[in-house]
Amino acid sequence: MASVLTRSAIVAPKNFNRWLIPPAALAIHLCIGQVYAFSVFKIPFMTHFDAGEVSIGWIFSLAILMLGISSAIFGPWVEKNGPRASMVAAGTCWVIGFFIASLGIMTGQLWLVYLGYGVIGGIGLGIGYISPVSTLMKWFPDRPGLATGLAIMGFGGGALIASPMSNQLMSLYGGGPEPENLVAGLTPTFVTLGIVYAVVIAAGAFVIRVPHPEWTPKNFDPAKATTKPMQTTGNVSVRNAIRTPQFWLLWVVLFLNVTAGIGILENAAPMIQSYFGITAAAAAGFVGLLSIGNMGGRFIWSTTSDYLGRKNNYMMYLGVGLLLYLVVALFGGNSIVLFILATLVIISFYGGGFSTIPAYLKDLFGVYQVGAIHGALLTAWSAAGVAGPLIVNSVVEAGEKAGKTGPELYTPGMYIMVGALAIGFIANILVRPVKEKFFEREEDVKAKQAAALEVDN
Amino acid sequence: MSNSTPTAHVPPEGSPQSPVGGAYKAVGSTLTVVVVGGLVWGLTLTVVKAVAIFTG
Repeated sequence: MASVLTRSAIVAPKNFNRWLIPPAALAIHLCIGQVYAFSVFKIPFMTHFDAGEVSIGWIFSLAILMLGISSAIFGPWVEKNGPRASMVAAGTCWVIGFFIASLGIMTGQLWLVYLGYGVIGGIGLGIGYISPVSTLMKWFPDRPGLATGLAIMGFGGGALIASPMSNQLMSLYGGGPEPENLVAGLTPTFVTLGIVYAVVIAAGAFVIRVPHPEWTPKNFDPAKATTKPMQTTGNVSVRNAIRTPQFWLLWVVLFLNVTAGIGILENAAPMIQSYFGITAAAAAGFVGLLSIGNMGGRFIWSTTSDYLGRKNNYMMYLGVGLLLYLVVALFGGNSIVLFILATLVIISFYGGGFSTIPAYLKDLFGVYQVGAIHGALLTAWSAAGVAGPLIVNSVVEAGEKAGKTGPELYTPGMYIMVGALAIGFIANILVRPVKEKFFEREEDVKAKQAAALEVDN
Repeated sequence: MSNSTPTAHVPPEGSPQSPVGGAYKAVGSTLTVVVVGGLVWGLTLTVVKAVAIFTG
C-alpha cells in the first residue's frame, strides 16, 4: 500500500471543491513567510550574543541563500513526490531549524542559529515555497495567476502575522516590552513559533489534495486556454528548460525586479526620514505600509495577469516601475504623499513579480515539471538577495565617504535601479514561445502523470 | 496524438488512504479560519499601527 505521503495517496474525489486547496497552500507560505519578519529579532540577538549587525544579518542572508539553492536542488524531488511529501519535508526542516536555533540562543552559540535557522530552516524555505505551486496550477488551470497569487501572497503575509506575534511572545515570556525583557523571552519564543508552525503546516499537509484525473473545472475548455500566443501546448522538462533562452531571460527579469524592490526595502525607513524629517517611529509605520503593498501586489497583480497576460504584466512591473523610480529620484522629495504612493506601487510590483512568475513558467513550459523549473529559477532571488543590498548599501556608503547627506545619498541608487529595470524590460520583451524541439513527447508525459496517480488497492 | 493515452485507475471517490469525510472537513474548516483570521489580524494591526504612527 502506498505511503500516505505519496501523490497517489492524496488524489481527491471527482466532485471535490477546489477552494479547499488554497488555504492548505496558504498555510505553509504563511509559516515560512515568517522569514520576512526576522528583523524583529535583530536587536535582541545583537544584545544576547553581543554581536554586530553584520554577524546577525547573516542569519537572514543565509536563509535566503539556502532558499534558492534548495529550491533548485530539490525541485525535481518535489515534482516527483507531490505536495504532501514536500510540505512534510519542508515543515520538518523549518521547525527543526527553529528548535536548533533556540538551543543556540539558550547556550549562547550563534553558530547553532546559523545552522538551525539559516541552513536547515533555509532548506525548509526553499522546498516549502515551491511545494504547493504546481498543485495549485493543476487545480486552477483556468486561473493560474489567481491561484499562485493566493499562495505566494501568504509568503508576504507571513511577516504581517509573525512580526506582532513574535514581539508579543517575547514580551510575554520575558516579562515586559522593554529591550532586556525581549531578550529574556527569545528562547521560549523560538520554541513556541516552532510548535505553532509544526501544527499549521501539518494541517496544511493533511488537507492538500491533487486533482482526480477525470476532474476539470466547470465551464473550462482546455483548448481555449492555450489560444493565447505566449501559452504553450507542450510540456518541457526541467532539464530542457534550463537550456532554453526563455529560462535565462526570465532569470534576468526576476533577478532585476527583486533587486529593484530591495532598493526600496533596504532603505525605506532612512530614506523617508532623510527626505521629510519624520520620526523613526513614523518611518516604521511606513515600512508596515510597504509590507501591505508587497502582499497586496502578490495577489492583485498575479490575478490581473490571467486577463492581461504574463508578458504584459511584467512590462508593467518593469516599465512603470522604472518610471516611478525616476519620479522618486526627481520629485520624491517634494511631496510625502507622492513618495509614499510611488514606493508603495514599486513594492507591489516587487511582490507581483514573485507571484506571477510560476504562471509565466506554466505558459512557456507547461505544467509537467513547472515546480522544478520554478525551483531552478528561484536562484535568481538568492542572487538578488545578496547583490541587491550590496549595490544599495555600497552606493550609500560611497556617498557618505564623499560627504553627501540626506536625499543626495539615495538618488544615485535610484538611477541604478532605473537602469536595472530597463535591462529587465528589454529581457522580458525578448521572451518568445519555446521551440517545439524542447517539448517532451506527449505520450511520455501522460504515462508518467498516470503512473504517479495510480492508486494501489 | 496517441489513441491509447494512458490514464490512471483512480476510483471516483479518490485515494482510499485519504478520505474527505468528517475529520477532513473539520481540519479544513479550522485551517481556513486560522489562515484567514491570521491574515486579517496581521493586516489590521499593521494598518492601525501605520496610520497611528503617521498621524502622531
